[in-house]
Amino acid sequence: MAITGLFLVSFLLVHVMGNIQLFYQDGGLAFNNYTKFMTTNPIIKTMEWVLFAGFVVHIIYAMLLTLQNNASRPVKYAYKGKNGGASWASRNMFITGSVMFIFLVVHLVMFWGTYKFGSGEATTIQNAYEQAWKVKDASGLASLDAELAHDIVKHKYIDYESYQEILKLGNPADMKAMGYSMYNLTLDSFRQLWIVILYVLAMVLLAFHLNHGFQSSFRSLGFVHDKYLPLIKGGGQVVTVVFPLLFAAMPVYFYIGSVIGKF
Amino acid sequence: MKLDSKVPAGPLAEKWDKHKFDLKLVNPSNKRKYHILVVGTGLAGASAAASLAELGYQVTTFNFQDSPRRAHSIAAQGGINAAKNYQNDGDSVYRLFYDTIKGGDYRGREANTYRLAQVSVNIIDQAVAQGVPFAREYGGYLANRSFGGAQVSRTFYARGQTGQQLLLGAYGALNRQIGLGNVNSLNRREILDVVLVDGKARGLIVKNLITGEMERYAGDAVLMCTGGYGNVYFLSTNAMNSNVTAAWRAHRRGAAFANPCYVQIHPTCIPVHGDYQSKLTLMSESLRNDGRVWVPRSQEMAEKLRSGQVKSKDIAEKDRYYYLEERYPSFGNLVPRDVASRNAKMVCDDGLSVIPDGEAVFLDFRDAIERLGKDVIESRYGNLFEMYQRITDEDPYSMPMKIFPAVHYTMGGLWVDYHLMTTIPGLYALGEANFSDHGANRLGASALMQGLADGYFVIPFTIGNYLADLGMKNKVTTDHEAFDKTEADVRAFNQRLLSVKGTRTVDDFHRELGKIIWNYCGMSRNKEGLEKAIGEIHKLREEFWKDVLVPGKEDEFNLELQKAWRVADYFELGETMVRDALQRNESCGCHLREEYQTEDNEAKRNDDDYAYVAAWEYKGEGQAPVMHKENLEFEFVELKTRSYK
Amino acid sequence: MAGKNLNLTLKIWRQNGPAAKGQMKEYKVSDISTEMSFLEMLDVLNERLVREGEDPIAFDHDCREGICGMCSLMINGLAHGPSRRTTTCQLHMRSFNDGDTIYIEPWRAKAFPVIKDLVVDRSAFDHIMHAGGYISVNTGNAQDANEMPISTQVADHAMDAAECIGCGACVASCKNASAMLFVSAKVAHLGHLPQGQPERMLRVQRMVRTMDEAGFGNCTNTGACEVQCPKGISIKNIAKMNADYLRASLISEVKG
Repeated sequence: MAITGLFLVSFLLVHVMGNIQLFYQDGGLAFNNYTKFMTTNPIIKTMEWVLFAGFVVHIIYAMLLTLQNNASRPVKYAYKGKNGGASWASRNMFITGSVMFIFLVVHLVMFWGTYKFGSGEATTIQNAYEQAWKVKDASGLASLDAELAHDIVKHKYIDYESYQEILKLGNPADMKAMGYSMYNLTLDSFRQLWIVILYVLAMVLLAFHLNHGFQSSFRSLGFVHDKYLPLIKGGGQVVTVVFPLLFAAMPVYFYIGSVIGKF
Repeated sequence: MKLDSKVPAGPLAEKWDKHKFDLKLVNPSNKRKYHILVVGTGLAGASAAASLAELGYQVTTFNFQDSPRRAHSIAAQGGINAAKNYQNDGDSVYRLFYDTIKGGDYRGREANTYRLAQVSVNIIDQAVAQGVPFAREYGGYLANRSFGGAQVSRTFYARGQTGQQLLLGAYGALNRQIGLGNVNSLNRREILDVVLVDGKARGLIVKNLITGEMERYAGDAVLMCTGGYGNVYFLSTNAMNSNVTAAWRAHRRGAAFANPCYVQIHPTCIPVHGDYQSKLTLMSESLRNDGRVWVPRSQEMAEKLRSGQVKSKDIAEKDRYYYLEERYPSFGNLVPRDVASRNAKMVCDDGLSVIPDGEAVFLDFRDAIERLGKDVIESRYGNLFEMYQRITDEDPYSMPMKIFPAVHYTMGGLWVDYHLMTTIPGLYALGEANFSDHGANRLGASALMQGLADGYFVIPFTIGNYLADLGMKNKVTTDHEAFDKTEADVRAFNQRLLSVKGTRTVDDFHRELGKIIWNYCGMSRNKEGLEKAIGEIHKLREEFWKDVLVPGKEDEFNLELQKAWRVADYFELGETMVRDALQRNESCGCHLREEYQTEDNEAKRNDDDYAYVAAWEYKGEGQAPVMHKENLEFEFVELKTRSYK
Repeated sequence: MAGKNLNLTLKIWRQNGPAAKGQMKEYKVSDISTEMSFLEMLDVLNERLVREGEDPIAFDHDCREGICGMCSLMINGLAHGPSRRTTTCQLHMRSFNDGDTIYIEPWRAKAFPVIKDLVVDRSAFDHIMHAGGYISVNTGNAQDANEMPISTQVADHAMDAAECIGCGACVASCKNASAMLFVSAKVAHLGHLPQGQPERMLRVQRMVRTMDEAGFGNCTNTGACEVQCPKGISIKNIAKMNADYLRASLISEVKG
């Protein structure tokens, strides 16, 4: 649990650092380039599998542990409502973890899945163009080279240079609003209030999960030292507060931006 | 009954070493053919069982708690004495021996006591090797403190939990042997009888306290490491379940019971505060190192204090009677326990008690806190102060503790010879369960020392001598008719208890018996009271057997039956105690006969007529026991009047 | 010290034997002095039950001064009741108010089966100790006690861990019924000291294995054990044991 947990924390660190680029006021340039790097770099691609394995091990182990721990007290106490001095977070890791698992599935389908596998509705290139770009007349796009066209159909994304190229071809005003880069996908998603609420809730739970998980991992790995323990406690608080706060800020930022008409 | 102490001849300092050489040995490869039954797993029992198993003997241990670790040795707070002389303050084996013999008011056996002092140094070595975390100085060397009755610092301690740590050390050694398969450890068992074959102890009838079943165990020797009998008083600092039954049943089978009237009343306990009270809590004697004992000087002032008109802190210095410091200038608050207790009773009898509905004196840390600071006091006694506050809801940092003596330790016990064998061959008694080393009063921090000395360093040598003579061929099994007969006796006894079906609970009788013994055979005794006590005990015992209410059945988990057989034994023991106190027409150590004291209320010994061990022989239910004497010969120390002035 | 008297409703677990089905049963007690200890309150109830011909409530207890570790009881969902650093035997009725309802339950854990009423079988703790809770030194082997200086800090840390009374409150309060605090206290006590070094790797492997076999749950560092421990044993010991265990499993060649 501890090793996979800390590994997943390291993923969160990378994730939050990358996604922070969403806040750049550059129309998504940095973020889109970052997206391209993350999806094409062979090391990252390998790490993607490791990360996946990390999640799987963490989750399976959590389930086994919970089953075992549950079985170690077959008859429960009749008196409920006392936590024996343990924090809510520490007692409910499986619950916070489970809700985050649901969130993770939604999140992956929404971004990673769409990005990777497309919506699945596009049957012809023309159709795909229309779907992807949400324009009535996509004829101007037909002149794109075949490889790029394929990318658009398959992945529903393009890198920034291609994007610029397309912009030249179509109606720039429409294109900018409807463009389907990762940045735009994000922008689109976070216009919807229910998604924003889901994300913020999930991040609150993440905060609880990290609050216990981070320092617990170090304990499980046997790290205890009077001098350095404050460092871990401090680190735990930073991770607990800063990561979820930044993550939660993203949907809120875009939602508010869309409401006030910034995006 | 013949009492042969088997003390070896020769100079005191050489007796033990020479004797060890003279003892017969059992061949290492033959040791596993002998089976030793150890009753009780406190300091004496656990250390003996572990040491014997290490030697190769097969050992079975019995204890009534759910784990050997819970024996009441665990509650000893203050420390353990050893003649290490690490402090370079003039200590030596001889001085420890001398202090112990003198502290016991010259009623202990010289040779046993000297051996105790001799092996005391090995105990500390052994305990440290086991990982007992004794207190240390900054240099990393062992720290010592002084304890009542001694003028050197020879007490080793582990915070206020020395007994716990030493017991856990012995428990560890025992666990190792259990893990290796050399010891069979049986928990939640109580010994209800000793089985004799050809006059030798060959087995036990044991009650399984969970299932209620009667079990039989056969062996080549039996060690009684069952602690003291302080619970005869109902209220004592003993654990609730500490009892005399195993030792008493051995006594009924022929083991002499020595000096039962020597009961130590510990001076610093939390006072009694109600009829429902189940036990008394001791505050370590080490508190007297810094605390000053006092009461108001006048009855008038004491009355004002009790009625709440004045607070203790408002009582002026001149109105405070620091009675120990005034009466014993050189030892002050550190006089031995019997002296401290007796004086507390005396000032309370004089109407100076500091609590309204009972008896108590102050133990005041005001001056020590002023002199050393609260931090130092906290580091020394923090856990004790916490405990006091938890129980009494009063803060001892801001107001003096209220203390009063309580029954604590019993110097009397099964009579044993130099080998620790009782008058039944093959039956040994170790630790508090025997009588031998402390005379009429035990010095602080000596109980742990004796329990471990007997278990680690005496019995492993002496038992071989007996077993070598017994031989390997001579085996007894549990289907021997002696087991049938003994078990039948036990069953009949229990059946008698169950069939009374009276109206009064066992506790009710126990409480009343305790009061009789406390009132007449407690801190001070007199002929008239003791004679009265015998009558009252008889009367109450008769009523017990007519009116006791023991619900349930024999073969089940039956707490009340368990209490009932213990109390039935206390009735007999109580009577023997009173008879013992009555025959001893002198005051010595903890035994103060009001008729025999000096003008300033100090104990007056009579060495000409009473320098003997009174060993009682059981003569049957309802029969008066018969006393035998073992004359104490003091070859090496001169009998003096104890003075702590 | 003058106290007042309480009237209370007790809900107590009654179970006739290990295989019997148990249930919470209600008892009313009146005129309970606030100066009484919790167990004295149960004594009073038991004496009444005996007089009324009912089976008295079985509960473990012995020293009644907070050191033997025999007493237990989950009182209103808290091991050893509401007072911190207190065993049930030292809990006083002044911690309760008139009219209170008090739930009294046995320790609950698969490794601590109920024997009768509030009495549970804690022999699993002993078995863990048999596996390695000691330093292997035969009587008579020891060198002079001062041959090996040990710094006060090390001795203090060892003593902090050694104060464990083996009552099982840690297991009872842990949501996972884990025995890690108990085991780690012994591992840390002996692991701190120079005398404990030769067997350090062996000890931790054996004790942890025996602990797992006994059916205790896994530690998730919730910290309830530390809060409920009547002796205030620190969960730092658990981390220390984890370190030793990892070292023993991954680096050391000693096989436990």
